[in-house]
Amino acid sequence: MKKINLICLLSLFLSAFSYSQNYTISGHITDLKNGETVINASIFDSNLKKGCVSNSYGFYSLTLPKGAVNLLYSYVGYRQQAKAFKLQKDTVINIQLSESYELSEVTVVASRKDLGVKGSQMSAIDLPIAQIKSIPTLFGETDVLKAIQLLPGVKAGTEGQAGFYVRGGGPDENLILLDDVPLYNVNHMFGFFSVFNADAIKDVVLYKGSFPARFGGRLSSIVDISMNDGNNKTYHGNVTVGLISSKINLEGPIFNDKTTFNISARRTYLDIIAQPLIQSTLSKQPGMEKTYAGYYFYDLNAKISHKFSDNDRLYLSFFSGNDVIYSNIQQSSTSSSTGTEKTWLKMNWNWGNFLTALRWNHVISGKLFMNATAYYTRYNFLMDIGVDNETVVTNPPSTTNSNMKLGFHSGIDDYAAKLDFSYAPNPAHDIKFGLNYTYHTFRPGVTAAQTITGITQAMDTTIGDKDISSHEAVAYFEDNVSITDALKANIGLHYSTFNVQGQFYQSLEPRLSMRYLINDKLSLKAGYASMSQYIHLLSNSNIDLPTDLWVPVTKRIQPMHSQQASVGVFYNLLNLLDLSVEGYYKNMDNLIEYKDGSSFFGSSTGWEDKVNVGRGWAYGIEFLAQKTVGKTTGWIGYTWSKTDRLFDRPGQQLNNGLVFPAKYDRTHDFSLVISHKFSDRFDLAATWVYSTGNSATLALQNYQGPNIPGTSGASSGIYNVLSQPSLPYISARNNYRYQPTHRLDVGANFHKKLKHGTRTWNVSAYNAYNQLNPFLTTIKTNSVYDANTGVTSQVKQLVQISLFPIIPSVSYSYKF
Amino acid sequence: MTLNKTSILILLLVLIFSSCQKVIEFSGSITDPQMVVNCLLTPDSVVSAQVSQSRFFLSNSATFESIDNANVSLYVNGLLKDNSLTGKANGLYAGAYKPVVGDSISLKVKIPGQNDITCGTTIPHPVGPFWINSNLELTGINTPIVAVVTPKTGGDPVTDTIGTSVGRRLFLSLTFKDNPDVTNYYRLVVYTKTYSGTKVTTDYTFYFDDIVSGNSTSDAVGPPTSLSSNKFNVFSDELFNGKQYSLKFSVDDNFNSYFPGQSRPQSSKSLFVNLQSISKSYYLYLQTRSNIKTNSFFAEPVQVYSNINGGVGIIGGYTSSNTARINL
Repeated sequence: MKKINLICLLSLFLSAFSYSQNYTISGHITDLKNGETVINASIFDSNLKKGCVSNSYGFYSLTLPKGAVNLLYSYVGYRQQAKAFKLQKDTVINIQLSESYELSEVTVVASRKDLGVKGSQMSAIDLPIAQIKSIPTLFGETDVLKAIQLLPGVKAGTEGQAGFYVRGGGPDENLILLDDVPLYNVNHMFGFFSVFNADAIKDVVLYKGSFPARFGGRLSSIVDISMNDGNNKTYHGNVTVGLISSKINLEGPIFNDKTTFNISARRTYLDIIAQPLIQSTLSKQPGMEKTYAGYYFYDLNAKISHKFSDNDRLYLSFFSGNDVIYSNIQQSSTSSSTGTEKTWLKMNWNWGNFLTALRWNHVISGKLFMNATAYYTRYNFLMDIGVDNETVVTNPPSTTNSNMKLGFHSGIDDYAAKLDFSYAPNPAHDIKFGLNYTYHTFRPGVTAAQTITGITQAMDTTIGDKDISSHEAVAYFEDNVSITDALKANIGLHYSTFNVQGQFYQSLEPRLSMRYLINDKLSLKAGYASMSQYIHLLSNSNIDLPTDLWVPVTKRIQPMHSQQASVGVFYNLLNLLDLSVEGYYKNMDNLIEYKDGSSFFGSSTGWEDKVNVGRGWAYGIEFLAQKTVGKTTGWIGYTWSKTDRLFDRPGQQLNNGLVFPAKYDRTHDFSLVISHKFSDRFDLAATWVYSTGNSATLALQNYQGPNIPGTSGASSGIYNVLSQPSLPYISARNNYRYQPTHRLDVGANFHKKLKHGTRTWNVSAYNAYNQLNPFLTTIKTNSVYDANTGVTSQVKQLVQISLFPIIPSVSYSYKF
Repeated sequence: MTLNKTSILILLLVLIFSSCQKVIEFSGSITDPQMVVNCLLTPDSVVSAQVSQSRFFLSNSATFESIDNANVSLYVNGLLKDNSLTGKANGLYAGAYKPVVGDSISLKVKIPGQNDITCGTTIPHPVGPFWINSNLELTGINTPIVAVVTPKTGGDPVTDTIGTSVGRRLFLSLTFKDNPDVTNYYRLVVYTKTYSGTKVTTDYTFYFDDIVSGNSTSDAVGPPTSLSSNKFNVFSDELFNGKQYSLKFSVDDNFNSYFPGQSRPQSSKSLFVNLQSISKSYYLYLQTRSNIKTNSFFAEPVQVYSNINGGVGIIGGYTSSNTARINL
């Protein structure tokens, strides 16, 4: 059987080279207005009914037989262009598409060819950046990851947070790529905002399953985010002033249209606004002399691209985003015995990402395209606390100085190089293959303490694990092959190795995605993907903290693996609406969960002892109706899903070795995202979400345990009802379900054309009908007055804590 | 005007970031109370068990309801030994039988209106001969011992320094042989007794930093606390099955020296060490009960092990070794 499969595969591959008298048409597709490359535009020969799509760099390659061709170039929201000619030699045609300002249904020709009805890819959703920008959000901060949370198959974690869970996977199982480079911490402000500034972003695609072989390293999803290259025609900019932050975006050509730049920056000013409040609060403390403290975050995206020729382009990308908490407090006290004592307390927390990537695109031939990338990406967490002390004694006069410093440092660094090739020998094959290597350095957390009194260094201590380095290498091959006109498949293999502390792991992962086209509007798809993951994120379960730590697999904690199969039906209604229904089943192995009673507090020491290893599975059905063109855009998504965990290995048991629901197992998730452009001056957007409540582990009963002989508790006897401890009775892990959550967010944009640009006022309301959704539930003992008896008694009550009531926001932006 | 605007902004931000709380009705299914059986068995002590019931977590009652109308029958090695243990106050039931090593003890509890409860355990064999080595290290600096003394010349009592005290740590290792035929579970019990006149003070504080304890380094450097990983000092023979093993632990103490002529307080202190052999059920119970962390917001809640069929609680067996005494 294996031999037959091999022969079939070989024949399929060889068929790629069996065409004769063929010529290749290749080139780049860009936006006429700003010169930005257009990703996944459709190139289609209406004579032969053959076509292809442009890659991430706007490059396309279509090999056709000699003779008359009639090429149609199209992309959603752009005017279609046609090129009819007689193909007699290899030909380069660069196309500039112009946006369609009349977005009536008639002008729209197609949605993305690789993801819609006709593409072989399934379980992937393209999110137009314009749609993301229109979605009303918390404090009016446009947020890519919160837009992703609204998609079927994706669940938001804690309310208001940017973390997300895809098809039953954990939050560390999502690979988030910014211009092909992974980012390890994608959150600001403890997870309430993501690091992505929408002004710098061109395109966002989420893969939930059927992963193409070029992707790997995480079990559950890939978020592929592309940054804008920059306008090569004229200078443009955008300035936005919001409730908590301001941002600016500038782009344009450098010297000529061959070199472009795009730079975006954002900073919050909570610390500046709240400074008077902080100072007035702190200054009430006795002896307080000088104080300032605050929190802010910023991010900076920059990209420079240079076109050497039609065959060579160079891109330099840069990202830096940090969160900073700072305080500097000066306090003094005077006493007759010690004299005057002054204390300065300085604290600085700083955490964030830094990324830089250099990419070279080279068209080797009309059929072969190469992209070489070298990058560095880093997540760093730094905490410094310093106390300076000066004691001045008047009699006899003396001055003593001392200071103490405490620092904590953790993070992860990656140096990587990759080579990716696209090879399109003929319209039936679109082959991608490549290699990449990453050198990881994990910094598991080092604490350094130093105390200096006078000129004598009394103590200098460093505690913590040493850095851990590891080598990760990947090779992949995939072929997007048209087997017949109706049957198309993306067949691939992804091979990865991971070498850490003398331990070598490897994984060969087959990938398959197939489409059977029933007619132009209707297709069936099926997919399979095997994935491996060599790193874990240690975090506590409730909220994203900067101390969350990436650690590599070890000898004891082996790599996670998953296998996912999915099937789906895709339908395009009148070129207006993409409808899809997908079902999936995923199993996951070597998952980790914290042991009962364990938690993580920033240091990786002994982390293997705090977790158990087990497995899990997830299954569900997702419905999506998406409209990306026209005056009304948006989507309706619904997911029915289940995800369970089983930790039953000897010594690794949780929940007594029985199945339990995963923390974010929620049966129903519904989202409605809609925006409507009433005119050039006014548009409106709204989202409504509903989901089953999260589960939590709650002791619904308490009972008495015996006093244990050999402890102080047993001094009054083993069974003494007056001294026996009360123990929690938990029937099962995640046995309690919070109330369902639902929320409406609305936003309106008021545009006005001014002399040099357009100004927009955005008014929005997060949680418009003030629904208090549960963040967590706790038990409190409150005094309750009974009006009938006139007695006040202490009563235990269940108290729900919610984070966000209705939050109105307003922002002003000016685009020129 | 600017100040007013700033104040409004500050107020708005404070409102935004203040969390909202509300009292809610419990929306889950309220489970019936669980029947609770607790029974710890050791040779030479009569079988006694406590029967009570659990209470709903939102109950305002401060006490647990005892079950005084149960019928508790005792089976030893599969044979009925006592048809009805004698009921005493507070849900306590006791018989006359004293288990012996190797006994398989089971209980059947009948409570009117409830399903029958069954549970059982085995009395483990004791640990064989063991010996203890010790090593002493000074860990602190001299501190004065201050006491209220009556001057030899007479007069009113005064506060005076009568000597110095220095901290020291006694590092101990207990060597024993593990039985290779079965998986064994142990519990280390260490305590000091201070005798001062007729008053005896017992202190159970010691440091269990042996690798088998599972205590992390941070646990081991300080005395056991509510956050320690292994509060009851239990361990298994997983790492030394069938071999001789030296178990390491330490105890803090103070060495006092008194100035010449000062009268010393009449007290003495002894260290007691006892290695219990415990049943697997008792081991799992103590291990999980030890994991309960109070006031730890981030920690996962703990499911305490239970081996009571039809109820909740523990029936466990333990056999103590001879107790070693070291005078400090």
